[in-house]
Amino acid sequence: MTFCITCSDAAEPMHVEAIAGNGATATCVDGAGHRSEVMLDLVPGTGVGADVLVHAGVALLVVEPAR
Amino acid sequence: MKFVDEYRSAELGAALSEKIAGLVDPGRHYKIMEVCGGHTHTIYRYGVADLLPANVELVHGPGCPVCVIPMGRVDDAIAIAGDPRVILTCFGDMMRVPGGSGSLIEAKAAGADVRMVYSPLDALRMAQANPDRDVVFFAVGFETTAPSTALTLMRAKAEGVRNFFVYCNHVTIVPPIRALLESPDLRLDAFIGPGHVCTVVGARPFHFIPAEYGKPVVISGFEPLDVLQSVYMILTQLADGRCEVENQYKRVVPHEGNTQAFRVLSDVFALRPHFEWRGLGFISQSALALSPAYADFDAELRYRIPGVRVADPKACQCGEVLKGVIKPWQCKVFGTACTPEHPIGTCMVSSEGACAAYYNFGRFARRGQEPVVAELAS
Repeated sequence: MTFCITCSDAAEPMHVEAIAGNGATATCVDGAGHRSEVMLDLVPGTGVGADVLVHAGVALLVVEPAR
Repeated sequence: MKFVDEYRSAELGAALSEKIAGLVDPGRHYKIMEVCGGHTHTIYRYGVADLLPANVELVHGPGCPVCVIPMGRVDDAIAIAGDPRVILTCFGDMMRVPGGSGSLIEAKAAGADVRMVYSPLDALRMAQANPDRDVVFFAVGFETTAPSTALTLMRAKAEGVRNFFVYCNHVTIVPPIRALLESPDLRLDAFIGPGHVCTVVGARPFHFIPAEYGKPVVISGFEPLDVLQSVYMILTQLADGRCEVENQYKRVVPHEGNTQAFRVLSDVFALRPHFEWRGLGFISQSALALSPAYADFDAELRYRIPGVRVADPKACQCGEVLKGVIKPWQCKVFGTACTPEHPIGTCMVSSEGACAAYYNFGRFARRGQEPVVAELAS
């Protein structure tokens, strides 16, 4: 998927793979298998296995799991 | 892939297109502005405009944060990068935006330490890995991106990082929309609202558009069927004589936005009295600066910044494109002197800028309909 990382209005669904000790930072993986560090502050209580919408290193919200 | 495939179905698109054709008044011309660059990209990439009747015109708005940064701010970033202590970090597209004296990528070629990052958090990690250098993050973006910068600054403060700074150019979406609504040379019928900005701010900030200006707003997702359905919802409102904020992107956007993000933004940022927008001039209370609590991280306080206002190149008509007054291909330098490889104006830099989106996806579809300008360069 081509999108502009700079644009304020692009966000990418990612899967929470692991959460660091304090619960506020996670390792997430995108559809292409790329991993990155994501801040979970705006979606408190999110656990491993959740799907989140990520923009510029921040999970903006939790998306419902694929059925 | 869920959330993608079902929004790209050709059959559903054709059915929606037919329903839209049945809704329009043939004697009326409809002008609908998509505020966000993400929508502009989708419209050109998937040919959404081809599925609409000829009298429904999509006007491309100012919602690409790269495109609205004035040249003077780029020059200021280059000046910061010129300090030998500094590693200047920014998102990829920002490196190619031309200022009055070149772009950041040219400054990098000339020896400045400019590096691309995918998030402000990457820049913070770079600062921690390079304790003897200053790492400055050139922050751009609307309300969707600002929380990322804010949360990174909160981490920098909590972790006691002293060599991380932010050159803040975050902007807010509502003031430029109001400025466009007040603009006499642009008469719009409705707005397609910026979906991901609304995940943060919610739908409420847009209620003034129907309430004060009598124009419908539909907050939209970014797949082609999202945009098409939003156009359908807008035309339905106009046909019914209704005028309200509707949310087409309910699968993602909660009406109230993200209250946690609001809190974070108000802790870290303060509204600037005014800020210059490319093509729109100075707009009051339209941008964010770091709040006094984060003054230690403010690059504008740490470095000597020229702050010189630079006029756009005469040939470039980004301003008119950003206001939706002209289409990209109507610009004098489009596709000839100004291309994605050698952009003169900001709209040609980011893939969501109207000119780049049209150059990459739309120019061949129009062949034969418009004076051949786009093809000259290729």
